[in-house]
Amino acid sequence: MNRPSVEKFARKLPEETTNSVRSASVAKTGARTVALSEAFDDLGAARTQAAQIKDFVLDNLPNLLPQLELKCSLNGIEVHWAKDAAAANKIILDICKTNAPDGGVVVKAKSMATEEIHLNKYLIKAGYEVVETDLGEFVIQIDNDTPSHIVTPIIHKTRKQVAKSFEREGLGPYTEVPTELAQQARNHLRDKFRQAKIGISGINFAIAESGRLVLVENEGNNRLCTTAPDVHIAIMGLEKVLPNETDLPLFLKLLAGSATGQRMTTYVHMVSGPRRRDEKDGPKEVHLVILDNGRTNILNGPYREILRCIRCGACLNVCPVYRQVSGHAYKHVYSGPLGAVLGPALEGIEKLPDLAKASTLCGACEEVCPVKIPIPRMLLQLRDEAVRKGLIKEAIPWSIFAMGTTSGFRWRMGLKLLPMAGLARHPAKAGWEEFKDLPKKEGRDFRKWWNARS
Amino acid sequence: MPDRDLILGALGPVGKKARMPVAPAPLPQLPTDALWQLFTERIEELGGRIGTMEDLEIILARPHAIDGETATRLGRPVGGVPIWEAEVGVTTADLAIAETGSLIIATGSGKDRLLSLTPAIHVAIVPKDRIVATITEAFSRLSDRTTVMITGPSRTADIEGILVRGVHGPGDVVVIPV
Repeated sequence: MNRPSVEKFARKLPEETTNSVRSASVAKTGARTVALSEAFDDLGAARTQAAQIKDFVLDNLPNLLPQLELKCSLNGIEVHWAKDAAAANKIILDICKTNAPDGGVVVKAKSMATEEIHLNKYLIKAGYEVVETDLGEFVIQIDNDTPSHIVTPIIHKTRKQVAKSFEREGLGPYTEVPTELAQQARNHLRDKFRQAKIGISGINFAIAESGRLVLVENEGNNRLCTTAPDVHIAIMGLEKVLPNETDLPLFLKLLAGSATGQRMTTYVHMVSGPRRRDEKDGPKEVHLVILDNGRTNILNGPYREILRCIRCGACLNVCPVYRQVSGHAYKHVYSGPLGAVLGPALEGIEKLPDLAKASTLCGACEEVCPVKIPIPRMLLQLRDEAVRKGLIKEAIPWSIFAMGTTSGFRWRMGLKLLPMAGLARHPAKAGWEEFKDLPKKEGRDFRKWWNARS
Repeated sequence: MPDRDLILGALGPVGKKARMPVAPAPLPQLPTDALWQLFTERIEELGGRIGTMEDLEIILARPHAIDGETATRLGRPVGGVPIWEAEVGVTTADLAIAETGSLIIATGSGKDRLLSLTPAIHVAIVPKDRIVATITEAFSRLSDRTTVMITGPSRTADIEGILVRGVHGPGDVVVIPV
């Protein structure tokens, strides 16, 4: 734990960053509300239905995953299983070595699963030129940064910062106009798409009944990564399977609305395998890596419902803590309320014991969640677990406060004794009063009034 | 033990949660003209547009590529310039979806997936009777081949949340009902 606590990190954050994160996340929360209220007559019922389908999936993985494997292989998609990050990285490298033994360009679509297993570093070390092609992820890569949001990775950057990075990389004349910056990235990445022998992507949904991989995006880079190179490697967390294609419209609408406030995401690419003999383009090989990496542990523990998550990012956008501290404060690839649960659940609470404290427990995350994950309950449970395991200490003033409030006698004694000792400051007051004044006490003492009443 | 067995073994037994069947939403019965009107509103909201055959003639003055099915339909020569060099890609869509302004395009014999992706302008020819009201309806008749649903021009809002059209895919999507 050599990284600073969430609170310390946030205090050192430049105002520019906080402002970027706050204004973007507020705007996206607003767009979400409009889009979803238009898309569904009864949004609550739609979310309940999505949650039920996801719970059904988690209950039936022992059937659904082999079914997916079978249907995929009938479609010509080769299925691989990886128990952890190391296994997944090795599988992917082996496929790269078989198809591009001399190294070369590997184009990547945005994928949180590949962030989770730190695939880029691994492939680069093995001699491949790994190129992120989503605009945001491309900026992250040239800046040697990490994503601060699971949907909009450069939410913490301003256009000036992006402009400077593009100028430094020689992508074109200096410009702060987003359209021109996007054009420069397009031009630069075109050659990479044409050179690459291998394209790597995540997936959003994998359909068990049809063996079809569903990939959702707005820019077109994901389609390019999974169409132009000869080999497409997709990686999925094992919870991403859905039973039927008829489940897709519900989930696609919820995802588009929750993530970006769109009626529908621009491209929904449904991959049914490599190019067929009579088709003119598309990859000649498609591989699917099914990743565990801690998920089966979560499945059998108290944080099971976090595996319903469809990675829309709505809980990040709405969270008052995320808006203030930005994604990097969470010290994990998954940030925000989702990350505060999924991070410790995947990696063990010992590694990230303080994340559960990065919440006001206001409940907004659960309210916006398209699959109704009870995040606040889980955050409380994580706090409890962390204290029980001695990983975080309850602050001493709070433990004294707790001792005092749980006995009427101690409370009354305290009220009498503390002012005498000059210790009447409530432990929470110190931080509060840096920004706000508490009102002055007026009127009579409640206890005296109560006792005198009868 | 292979990872497959490890993972399947660690999943535990099948649980008891039943799933509610997805009740098929009643499909709105709207006349084709009304569906096209809604489709037009939706695609224009997204920055796409509806075009005519006259528009097509103007667009085709630029370097373009056309797939076989579409060329036959239009009575034009197949091909054109290589796809990566084309400024315009002309395809036929399998379906149009009114509620979202989306197009469904499946791969097929002699078809290129990149034609609707790499050119700056994507022209989609859609026979007028190939329109449905909802995504649900469209998904009940998907081809078993790789299929894409396209909703408006390529876009991003990665930089300061500002909308930019035409990042990696076409910034201009022209739908021509025929």
